[in-house]
Amino acid sequence: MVFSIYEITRIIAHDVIKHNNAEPNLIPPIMSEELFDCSNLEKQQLIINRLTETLGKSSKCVDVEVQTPNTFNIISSLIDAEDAIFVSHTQELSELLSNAQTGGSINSGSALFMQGLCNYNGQTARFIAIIKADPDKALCKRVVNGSITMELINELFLSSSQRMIKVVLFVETEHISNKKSPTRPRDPEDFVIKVYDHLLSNLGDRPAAKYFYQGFLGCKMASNAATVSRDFFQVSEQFIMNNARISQKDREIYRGNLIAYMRGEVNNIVAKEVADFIFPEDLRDAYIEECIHNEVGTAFIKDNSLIKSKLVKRTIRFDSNVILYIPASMTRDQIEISDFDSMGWTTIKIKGYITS
Amino acid sequence: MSMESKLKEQFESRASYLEALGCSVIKTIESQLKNDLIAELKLAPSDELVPTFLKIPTSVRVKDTDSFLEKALFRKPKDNPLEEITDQVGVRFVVLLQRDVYRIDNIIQNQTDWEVRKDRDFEDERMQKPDYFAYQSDHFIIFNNNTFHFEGILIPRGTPCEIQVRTLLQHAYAEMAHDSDYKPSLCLPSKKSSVVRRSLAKGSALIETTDTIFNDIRDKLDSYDAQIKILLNECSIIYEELIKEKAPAFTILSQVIVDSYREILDNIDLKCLTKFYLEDKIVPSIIIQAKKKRNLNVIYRNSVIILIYYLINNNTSLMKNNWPIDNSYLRDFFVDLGISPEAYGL
Repeated sequence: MVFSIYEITRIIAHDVIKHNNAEPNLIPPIMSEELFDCSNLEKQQLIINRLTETLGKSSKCVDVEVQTPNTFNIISSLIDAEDAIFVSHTQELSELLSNAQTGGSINSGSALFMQGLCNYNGQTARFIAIIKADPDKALCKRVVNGSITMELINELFLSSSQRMIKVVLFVETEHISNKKSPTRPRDPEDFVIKVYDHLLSNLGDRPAAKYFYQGFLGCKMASNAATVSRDFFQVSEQFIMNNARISQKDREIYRGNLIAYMRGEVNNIVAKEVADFIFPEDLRDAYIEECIHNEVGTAFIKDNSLIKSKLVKRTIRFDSNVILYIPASMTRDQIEISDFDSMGWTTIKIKGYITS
Repeated sequence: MSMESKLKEQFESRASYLEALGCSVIKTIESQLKNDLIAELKLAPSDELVPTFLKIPTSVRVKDTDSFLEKALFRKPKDNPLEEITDQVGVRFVVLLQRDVYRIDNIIQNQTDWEVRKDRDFEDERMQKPDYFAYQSDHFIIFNNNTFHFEGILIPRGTPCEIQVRTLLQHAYAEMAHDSDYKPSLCLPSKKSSVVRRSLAKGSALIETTDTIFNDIRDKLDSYDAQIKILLNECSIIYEELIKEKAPAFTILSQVIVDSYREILDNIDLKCLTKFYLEDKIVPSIIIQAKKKRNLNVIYRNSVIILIYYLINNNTSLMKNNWPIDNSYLRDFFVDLGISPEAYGL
């Protein structure tokens, strides 16, 4: 999916608190009653930038699908709601999000609910987005009597360095007016849903990372992580082995890099990051395009269960029937393979002594 | 009243319309020059175009009365000096290169409001005396075909005006050698005059050689930029088709940006760029939609935006390395195209 945001047409913010059954919250969350003024272009651009950073091409956002439609029904109804209904429904959503926040490390914060217009695959489409961000601290410069002082701001929101955010985007890919028999509540098929959660990058699909997309939104990952991981590995491997711009020697190096990356600590796989890890700069864009072309260009949660055997060892076969097995744990500076020379020899340099 | 007094009075009574004619000649030529530069070289309309092209501001010079009288009565006596002396008013265009001289010459010769006579053609002079080096300038005399008003002053039909056209180097030589015009003795055979004449010839030869080198430099610079100019020109056409507004192809900003990606651009086929904008479903519609940004930001009003979006779309990873201006602009373009700037270290 390629989308680019044109404008935000309405926006409102509410408090989202950490729900604690044992100790009821003493201070009730603030629920706004009025929409923001959207006319300030600079303010609007800042929000658009944050949405694109987290949800745009090459970002770490993942596709999700509706599993239980309760929250979806409210969110999808926002798109055609009058302002008063928009306000009350977003208050309701804010409460649902508070109720979903029961985990240990989850913080209270604020949520922005917004509607806007974007370009979705060349067509103008409506969208609803929700950003939940924890408040950040920063120092703000003030000039008092000709001297500079620093004032502490506790409620910094959506600063460009803030990473603790969760974002969901519902793009209406099928406009209600185009439907032969429009349904209300809306059909989840009418929307593409993307989620960014910094916890997905850190924790993968473990429970703490699920409360936002599963607990609050009632969604599940759009595709099977194990299948996508396998397809992604295959597409990457084929690109390395078949691209005419890659020499035989580099093929082995890049394949080693790919295996090392898939075996590594990263949970949220993004083609752009893999490209940066495996390839020199001049091959990266072609690789990313290849991933997009083969529908593995969107970020996904890694599951190596179907490619386990491929990640254990690298196999290099020579036309002289020699087969070399290299443990995948060997790093790139422990084995060096040179290009074959004009006499048909390949030089391999291995760190270690022959033991048998 | 003596003949001289009568001539003086008649000449001075012409001064105001002679000056008005000179002003109208400058205005006509500069206006046409500006149009030509915008149309042929795809330059942005700007009041700076003509002053940049002309290396010395053009002004009108009405002949000093005594100088006129000296010429009319002593230096080059005429039966009817008011009719026969054609440099009573003059304007001079000084440009950088020989090709620029031809550009001004063409403008002068293509005006239909004047009758034009070429008094001095240094190309012809070079051909006739290939071994001789001296003063070089094109001189035209124009006579207005009809009586007309310019800024409230009536200019009678057939009033002459001399127009000189020369390069900056020819101008420098002319300034240096000016005094020699009034020293007939320099033409007489003597050792002293030969030394002076030899120096003048050397100076003129050097000027002509340098002019040739300057033209060569310009040719090489043009050839260095040929591919880029073709691309920028195409961008201007695509921009106009999408936005329905004109945008100049060559601005300082567009040249700085394209020069930074010269290596990539040298490999871009014009057809690929055109095909991309014909077939891509997303990028053209994003450009059309960016109306508010066009009002706020000059880069969005520059047709180089066409090339920037194309480059980002096809060479995303390479963009950051060479981006020549503040990264915040590049970040905005990534956001426009729905690409996470963060993923590319922006």
